[in-house]
Amino acid sequence: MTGPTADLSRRFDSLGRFTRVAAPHVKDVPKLISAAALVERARARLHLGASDEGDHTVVALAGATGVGKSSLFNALARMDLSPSGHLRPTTGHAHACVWNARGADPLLDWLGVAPQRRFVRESALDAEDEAPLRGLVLLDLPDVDSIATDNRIEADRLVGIVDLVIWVLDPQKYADQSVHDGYLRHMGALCDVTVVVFNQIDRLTPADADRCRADLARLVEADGLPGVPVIATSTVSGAGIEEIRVLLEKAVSGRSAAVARLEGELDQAVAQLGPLVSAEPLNEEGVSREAVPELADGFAAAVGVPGVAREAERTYRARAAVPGPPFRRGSPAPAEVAPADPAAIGATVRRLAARATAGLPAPWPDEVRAAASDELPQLPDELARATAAARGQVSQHAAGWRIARVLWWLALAAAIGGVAWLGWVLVRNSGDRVLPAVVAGAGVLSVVAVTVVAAIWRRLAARRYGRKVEARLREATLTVAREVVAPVRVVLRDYADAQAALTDASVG
Amino acid sequence: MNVRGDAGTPAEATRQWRAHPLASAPDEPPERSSGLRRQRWDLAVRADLDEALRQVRAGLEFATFPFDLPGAPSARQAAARLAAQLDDYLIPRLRRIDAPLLAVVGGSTGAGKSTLVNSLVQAPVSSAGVIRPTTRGPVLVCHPLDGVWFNERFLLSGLARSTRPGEHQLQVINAPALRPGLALLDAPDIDSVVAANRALAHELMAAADLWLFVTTAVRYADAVPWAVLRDARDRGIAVALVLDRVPLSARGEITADFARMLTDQRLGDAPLFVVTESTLDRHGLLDDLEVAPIKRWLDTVANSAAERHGVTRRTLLGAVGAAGRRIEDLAAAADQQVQATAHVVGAVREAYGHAMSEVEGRLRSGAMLRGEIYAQWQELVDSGELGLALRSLDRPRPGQTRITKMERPAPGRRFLAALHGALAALVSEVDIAATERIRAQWRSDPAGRELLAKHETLARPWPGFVDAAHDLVHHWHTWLRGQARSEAPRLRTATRSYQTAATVLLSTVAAVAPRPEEITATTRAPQMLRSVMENRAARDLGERARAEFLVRVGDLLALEVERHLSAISAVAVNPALAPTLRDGAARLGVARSAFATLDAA
Repeated sequence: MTGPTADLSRRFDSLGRFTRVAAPHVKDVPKLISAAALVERARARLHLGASDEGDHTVVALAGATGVGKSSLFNALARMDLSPSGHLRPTTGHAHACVWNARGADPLLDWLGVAPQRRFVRESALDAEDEAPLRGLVLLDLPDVDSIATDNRIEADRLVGIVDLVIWVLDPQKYADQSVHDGYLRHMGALCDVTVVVFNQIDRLTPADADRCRADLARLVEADGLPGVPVIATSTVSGAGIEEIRVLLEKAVSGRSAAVARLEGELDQAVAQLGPLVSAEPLNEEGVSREAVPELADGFAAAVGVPGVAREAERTYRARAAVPGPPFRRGSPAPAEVAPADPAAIGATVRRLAARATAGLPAPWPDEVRAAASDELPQLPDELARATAAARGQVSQHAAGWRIARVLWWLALAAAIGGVAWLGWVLVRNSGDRVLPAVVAGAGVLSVVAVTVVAAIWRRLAARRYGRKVEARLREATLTVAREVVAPVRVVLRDYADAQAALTDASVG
Repeated sequence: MNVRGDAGTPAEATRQWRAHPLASAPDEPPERSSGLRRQRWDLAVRADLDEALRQVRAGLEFATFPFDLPGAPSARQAAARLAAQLDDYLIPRLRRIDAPLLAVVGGSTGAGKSTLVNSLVQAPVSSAGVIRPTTRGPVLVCHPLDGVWFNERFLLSGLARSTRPGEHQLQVINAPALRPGLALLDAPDIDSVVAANRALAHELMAAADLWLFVTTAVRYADAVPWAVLRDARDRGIAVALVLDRVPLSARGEITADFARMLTDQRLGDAPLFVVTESTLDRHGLLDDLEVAPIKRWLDTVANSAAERHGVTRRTLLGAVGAAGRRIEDLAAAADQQVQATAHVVGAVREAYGHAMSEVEGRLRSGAMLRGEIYAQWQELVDSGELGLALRSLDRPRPGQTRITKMERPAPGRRFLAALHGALAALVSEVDIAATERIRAQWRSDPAGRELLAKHETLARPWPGFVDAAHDLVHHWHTWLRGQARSEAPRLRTATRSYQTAATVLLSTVAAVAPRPEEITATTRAPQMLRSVMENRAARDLGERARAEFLVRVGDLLALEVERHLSAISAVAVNPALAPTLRDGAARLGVARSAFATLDAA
């Protein structure tokens, strides 16, 4: 494959990637469907033109009924190949004339020209007369404006796939709406591979023919095809036929018509699809990096994480009280997390979607919003479940406080025992007074010390506990937030892919 | 041909005729007695038809089809065409049924219409040429005696008359070569790139009593003229065909082929004239021999009053019948407009109805007491403020003026502030959700898409809505405080103001709390909630407070609904259009049948 062809097929691959990536998001857009069809067709055409032998240029003669397409076809082929007649409409099927038939059959199969309507030009008999047109496939198309609708369908199909179209008009029909509004007006992208022929000038005086040709040139320009050649011809006098042959020779020798046509269509498709992505690069990583913590914060607020943490701190303090019964029975502190607030969750998710879609063209914002709010109905429950589970995981280390309480009671017992002992010694007035006094003093001091230390420790531990609960809950909300952001990231990644693919496709 | 009143008409009948707007005298005096009755009957039938046509015309005045639905552009065009046909042809022709015939020469661009007209009248009245489309301004050619009819605009009243050619004005030229009783109109083409030409050609052909349809040997299989011919056939218009520019060598072959196609399309009985391709003479006219059959046929029609009547009545009947069918199509299009409106309006109402029930559901289910609010509630319970407030409600202390230190600050201030914020957020939230619902619904509907494209602000929350929601909650709170105060005697003491504040707190809680039997948890905070709900005073005021809140939210959302609906009603779909049109069509149908029997008689 040569340079421009390789480049073109790379660009078509990119366009194909764009249609694949965008298809799930851009729903029911005919532009996308036609772009996909264009990619298919371009691949097939480029593949057919890949070998040197098969490198033909397909030129079609198209136009209304009775303008002399077949006569022109025969004149160009210098042979009577396609039947021309008085009755309308005449040609119902496309006829093909091939100069150098080697390798042309797959191409003609692809074009859908039946084998019995294929003619081969340029045999050994012609010597070198027809050599300049070697590699040309000339098609005579059915008409585009008669009541035979099948003709029109067949002509439309071939006009859509050939490399170069010669529009044939005549003095009667050159201003018909069916050709101008039906075809030429939509051929802007194919400016480089369109030729207009003003046929049957033998029916007019030379002066009239010139005026009409100029009028037709004006109409063609008004159709959005500036620079398209308008050639006046007559199959009777032979005027202009040579001019067309020269033009065809140029197209054949350059082997560029196919590429030029596909390029034109590709540019048009890219331009049409352009509004689906914006030019600005998308910072998808940035969006998700900032979005997840923000979303988690929102969820935390919706669940009331600060409140739960305060509550946990309070419960901790209540349960860690010294003094207290040394061994408290019953369940540990209830891992209570209130159900989440759906309104706040909805608002948070909506904020995320709004932030992620800033600057995206339609329909991507709706896609992102849909992806983000996919889980919305389940989110309150899911959040409540996740946070409750996280809350349950944080244990209170009640054992340490049990020991503290036992110590306190022991100290109290020691103090009371010491006092009782001291009293007993004083009543008995015998024995050592120092030891009981020391025991009582130590007991009292221990009670005070344990109480004070426990109080300080309780405060610190409760705060730490509250923080730990909060951290755990926030972690849980973070997990949920990541789940919510994941589908959004998928959409954003698709968007970025589509953007890159279209940029690739547009760079020639 | 005498087109004025006939002297032989009975005086009485003449008076009647002259008095009536349809006044125009028949050519042959009818038999005296039965003729008189027939004339009266004739008059009544035509007056009926005239009235029905004018009713339809009046209805079409309001046929706008404002929403760009799939069928709307064609309906708009059809309505405009029908109105033009009523103005240009049906109404005036019915009133002057015996005026000269108008034969419109129509056909493709480059078919040689102008050359044919020139040759028929033997004068270069319409410019022929090679530049397509040649004829841009229509040319009417008639006998000098008929000129008065066409110059006074009895047909095609919308077109200015002129003696010089010009675009969108009718050039009237006298041609003595024509017989009186039939005028020729050289119309622009039906198929060139110039859209104005095509539109004018259709307008002119709709105003014709008779079509002289010109096609050529190259064109006779073109799709566009055949579509026009089929339309003429379905409308029962009198058509004569001219196959022009036929090469002499293939004359027989082509004529046979064309005749076969005509028979296939059920147009076989239309007169067909063939003109061979020939060089024009120095005046640019066809050879006399070529156009002689056409001329002869036209003269036959022009000369015979019966023939002319037949043509006019046939075309009138066909056109009225076609008008009836078109009106039915228009009515269907009008129905679609009304349905589209109902659909977009329905989406708005449904979305905001859903929003309203969402607010009510959240309040009734206690969903407000969640998240941060619940934490605040727990604090309120744990701090004992709530217990105090409850006790103060249970045992009012009318005489006591001292209050405890705990009671001094307004109870539950932080809880209430958080709850108010949450309520405002709820209202804003349901508004956003409603606009999103509307947006989703509208995007799947052509009328909705049109509205979205036209109004940036629709299907999006009103920018000031968040503030409005906060104001709403604030005003509601003020209202509640007023209510709570009015429950107690009007004496301002510290105790009273504490009690008022406690009442406000408890009734606010009651307004957003679920029913007591739905509170199942056994921990302290839910238990306290249950005791609030079991307090009758708090519950009753809470009930009223909730109702009041819902009313206020309903009022606010109604503004949003109104904002959307006013944009929809600005589109001005006329719901009465379809019934008016159908009514007119029914009347037209009845009047047409009567007119048809008249024709048969």
